[in-house]
Formats: sequence, structure tokens, C-alpha cells
Amino acid sequence: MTFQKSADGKELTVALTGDLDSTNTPELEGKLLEEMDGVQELCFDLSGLDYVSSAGLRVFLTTQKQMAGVGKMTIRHVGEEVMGIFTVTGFSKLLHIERD
Amino acid sequence: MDNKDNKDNKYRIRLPIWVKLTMIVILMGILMASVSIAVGYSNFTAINDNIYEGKAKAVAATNAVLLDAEQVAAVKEMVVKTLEQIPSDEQILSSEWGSDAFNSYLAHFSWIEETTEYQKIRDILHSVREINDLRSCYIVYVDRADPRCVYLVDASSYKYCPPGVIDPLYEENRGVLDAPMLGFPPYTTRTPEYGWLITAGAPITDKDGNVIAYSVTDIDMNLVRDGVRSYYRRIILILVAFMILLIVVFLISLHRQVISPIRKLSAAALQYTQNKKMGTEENVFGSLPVHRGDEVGNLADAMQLMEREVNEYIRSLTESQEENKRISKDLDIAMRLQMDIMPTTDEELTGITAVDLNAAMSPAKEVGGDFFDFFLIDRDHLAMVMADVSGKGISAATFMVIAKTILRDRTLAGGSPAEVLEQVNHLLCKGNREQMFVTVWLGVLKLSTGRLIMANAGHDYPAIRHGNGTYELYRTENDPPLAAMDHMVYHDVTVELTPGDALFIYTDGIPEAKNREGSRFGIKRMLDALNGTREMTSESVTHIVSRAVQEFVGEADAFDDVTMMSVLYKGDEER
Repeated sequence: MTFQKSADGKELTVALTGDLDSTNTPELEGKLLEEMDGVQELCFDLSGLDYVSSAGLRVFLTTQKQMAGVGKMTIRHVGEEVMGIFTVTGFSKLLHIERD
Repeated sequence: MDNKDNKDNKYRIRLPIWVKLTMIVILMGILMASVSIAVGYSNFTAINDNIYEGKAKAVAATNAVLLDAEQVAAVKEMVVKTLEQIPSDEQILSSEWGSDAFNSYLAHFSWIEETTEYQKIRDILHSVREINDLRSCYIVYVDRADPRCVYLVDASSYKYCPPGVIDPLYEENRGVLDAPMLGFPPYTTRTPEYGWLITAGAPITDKDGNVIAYSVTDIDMNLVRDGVRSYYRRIILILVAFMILLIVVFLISLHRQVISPIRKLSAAALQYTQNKKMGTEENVFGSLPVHRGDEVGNLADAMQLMEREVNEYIRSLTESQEENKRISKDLDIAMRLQMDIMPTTDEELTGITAVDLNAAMSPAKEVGGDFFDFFLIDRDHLAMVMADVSGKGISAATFMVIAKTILRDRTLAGGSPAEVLEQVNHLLCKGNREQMFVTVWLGVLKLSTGRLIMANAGHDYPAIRHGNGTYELYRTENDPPLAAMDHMVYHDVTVELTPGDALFIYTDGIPEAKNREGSRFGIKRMLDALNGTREMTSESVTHIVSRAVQEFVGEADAFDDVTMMSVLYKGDEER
């Protein structure tokens, strides 16, 4: 879980690896809360993510709703496994996913 | 470990505090007394030596003045003459005292003791010696040619030296050879012949001022030392008595100020634990008669404060424990209620033969968000629901109850599954502050024809088996979960079932069940388990899948929330 912020603080890239489930979503939510102030472009890089549970989906959904007023949130580099989960859960229709 | 402890204990003597402190006080007392006695003794000895040296010098000088120089000169002449007649090899020194040669040498001089001059001098010396309580007063002359002292007259109380006795001239007295008037300044000797002595000598002169002989005085320092010793014995006795008194006073005050309050405190602490065991509420430290402004008093105050705090803590802990018990009881009830609102085949499908349906839900460890439902819309339409609320706990359970109720209510009101999901989504989106969502698979089966219309709000794909084929996932384009976002559009999918076909719906608890190595059960294992259920009842199907998951997971904790429904379509055989 790495956070990378642009110099002007308006762009934030969050790279996630491994599994995103109820064991680590509180940490992700906490860090997002700290870092999101003033961010206008939030990007999740999921190239290293193997699995996302419903708790993880919920973080994507709430974060996207928070960003809706101030900017935009995109999800990039989604692997096959995670894309499968997004498709089954219908989240592919909710989230702004940029296909590679 | 035990052996080592025993060994340590053998060498570690456990002493009460009062014994330790008493030992320290005794040690300090002995140390201080020793130092003061040693310093005192050395000062005292130095002063004593000075006094006795002065005394020896004064007495020697007194004798020198008192004696008639002419008489001394006469005795000296007698001795010198006699000595001159004795060959030098027969002149025996006093170091051979008591030998035959020495005695026969002295015999040459014995006549001198009978002379008047000798006796007069001896009497004076004797008087002076007695008055001054001394050991020896005597007269010697110094033979300058062969430096030695020769006795003329002796009035000693001990080891009397007759005239003619020869002593060597001691090193410290060689000064008289160069300066005869100097006499013998006081000096100390320790010789086997005479013992420990302080000696001083004063010159006796004739009327022309020539030195004839020396008046000498010895003070026996052994006697003096005995006096000093008895003085110190007395002092030590007094010190010891004083120290004993001091220790007694110290112990009494130690006992009153420290030991007794500490014992009271430790007894109170024991009483405190005893009370806690018995459940008695009583302040043991508050009523202690230990209240002084010292450290022990502070300790008592601290213990009293601690007692109050601990009591307060225990009280609040007990309260919160009771509160927890109550909450956990409430949660148990909630879990039971949650299980209770799931439908049973007997209640919902009495008299229905077109399907063999069985739903199962593993007894979860906590209230969760999985649920299933099935009910008849009318005599020919069976509605089936499989759903999973995101999250766990009371909020998920509550959300689940709401979702389940609305779903059933809306389905019964009519409309295709997609229409129902759209309406329910809209209803659930209202006031969803917790940002919960629920994945729902909703299917409506027309019992008479086998037409299954289903809509999927982000739920796992159903598995369908046609005839004697195998179970396969029926992949559809899923729409988002309910309550995730308002105004979503849902889509109906139609599947025609023929008698002998089977449908299996489940929650993600099955494919995502993890074993100890961290690998997941997965869809493939689920389908394999399902394909081993040919010709079985729906009840056996759920049972077999459930057992397969359980065996895969083993003892791992991840086994929770496994919910599934097996539907075997038999068709309307009667029609």
C-alpha cells in the first residue's frame, strides 16, 4: 500500500498489492482520510492487487462518492482476477475503470 | 530451574529488616569506636611519652644537683681504679648477666658497696626514686676511650646493677662524647636485659665544671602501658554499654516508626485480597492507625488511594462486564432471530412437487449479512433470493432484515425481477448513511413451464445443470449491488429449465473460503462437488457442498457465512 502525491497536492496515486479485504481496509480508509484533503485527481493503481472483497469494494465506492463533488477518481491497471470480481459484482458499471 | 533456585536459597539468608538495620548500626558503632580509640590511643601515647620523658629528665637533673660531687668523684675513682686492674678480657658486659664470668667480674667491686660514700649516694637516690615512684635511679660514668657506660651507684627497685656493671654506650647517646654537658636526652629502649624503658641522664660536675658522671633515671613503660590499657578497657566497656543502650532505643523507635506500621500495612493488604475473594466491600487502608508525615505514612496514603481507585475500577469493570454480557446475549438473540426469519420448505412450499428445494446456512459465529429467501408469488410462480450484505455485525444484520423484507414485499407486489431490483434499490438508497450495499440474485421460476427469469445485482453467478450434463456457471452481465447507487438499471435474463435440470445459488463464502495455507476453495472445487451429486435430493446437495468446504478449510477460522440453495426442477408431473 503506497501513496504518492504530486507536488501541488492535487493528484494522488494509491498503489495496492496483495489482497484487499476486511483485514486491511480500515488501514486504507484511515490513510485515505489523511491524504485526500485537497486532492482533485485520485488514482488507484491495482496492478499488484490479487483479490478484493466486498469490504474493499465498499472503500472504492465510498471514496468515489466523496470524490464526486471535488474531482474524479479513476482505477487503473486492473488485473484479470480483480476485473473478474468487478464484473461479477457489477462494480464495473459503478467505478471509472480505465482499461489498459 | 528448581535446582538453581534451591542452590540460591541456600546461600541467601532472609533476614527481617530490623536485624539488618541493627547489624548496620552495630557495625557502624564498632567502626566509629575503633577509629576514635585508635586516634585517641595514638595521641594519648604520644602525650604520655612526652610527659614521661620530661619526668625522667627532671628527676635525673634533680639527682645531679642533689648529689655531692666530691662523693661521686670518690666512688668513681674507686671503680675506675678497680676496673683498671682487671684485664680487658675479664671485663664482662651486662649482656652476659648471670654468667659465672660476669659474677666473678663483679666480685672485684663488691667492697665499694661497703664504703660510706657509696651508701650516702645510694640513700639519696633511693629516696628520690621512692618519692617519684620510679624504677631506677643510678649513676654511671662514660668511658670515653672505649665508649661504654660503667655503673657507679644504683638504687633500682628491679634488676639492681652493682658498681662495675658495663653497658654499651647506646647509639642515641653518642652525643655525650662530643658534648659531655648535654647528658642523655630522653630516649626509649627495649632490651632483653632491662625491658621497655624511657631513660634520661643529667651530668654531675665538679666545682670546675668538669663532668664526673651522669645521673640516670629509668621509667618502666610496661607499667605505664598497663595503666593505659586498663583505661582503654574501661572506655571500651562504657562504649559497649552505651551502644547497647543506643541499639535498644533505636530498635524501639524503629519498631514504632517503621516496622509496626509496615506490618499493619501488609496485614491490611492481606485482608484486602481476602475481602476481595469473599466479595466484602470494606475499606481496609482507610481505617489504618498509620498517619504521619513520613515515608511510611505516605505509603499508607498511597495504598489508601490505590484501594479507592482499584475499588472504583473493579466496580466499573463489573458494570461493563454485565453490560457486555447483556450485549452478547442480545447478539445471540439477534443471530437466532436472523436464522428464524429464513424460510423453511415446509412453511413455504407445502404441496409443491415441481421443485425439490433446499437452502442451508452455516451457523455463523456472529451475526452476518448473508440471507436467502424463497416463497410462492402465486401457485405457479416461485421466487428465490440469495443475497449478501457488505460487512458484518449488527448494522449488516439490520440492513439484511430490511432488505429481505422489502425484497419479498416488492416481489409479491408483481413485476419482473429487474423491475423489483430497481424499486428495491431506490428504496434502500434512501438514508443509507452507513454506505452499505447488498448483492442480490433474484429469480422467479414458473413451475409449470420451467421458465426462469432472473436478475443479478452484483451477486455470484448461479450454477446450472441441464439434464445429465454438468453444473456450469451461468455468466450474465451483472448489474451493481442494491443500495450502492440510486437510479441503476437492472436486466432480466431468461433461462428455460426442463425437468431434471438443476440450479445452485450461493454466496461468496463458498468460493472464497480459505484454508490454512491461504488458498481459496474456488469455483472449480464447488462445481466438482456439485457434479458428484447426481440423482441426489436437494438436501444432499447442500450437505455435500457444505462438507466439501468444511474439509477444505480444516480447522481454519475462515469458515463462516456459507449460504447456499439447491433447486432441482422436476416439472409439473401431474399435469
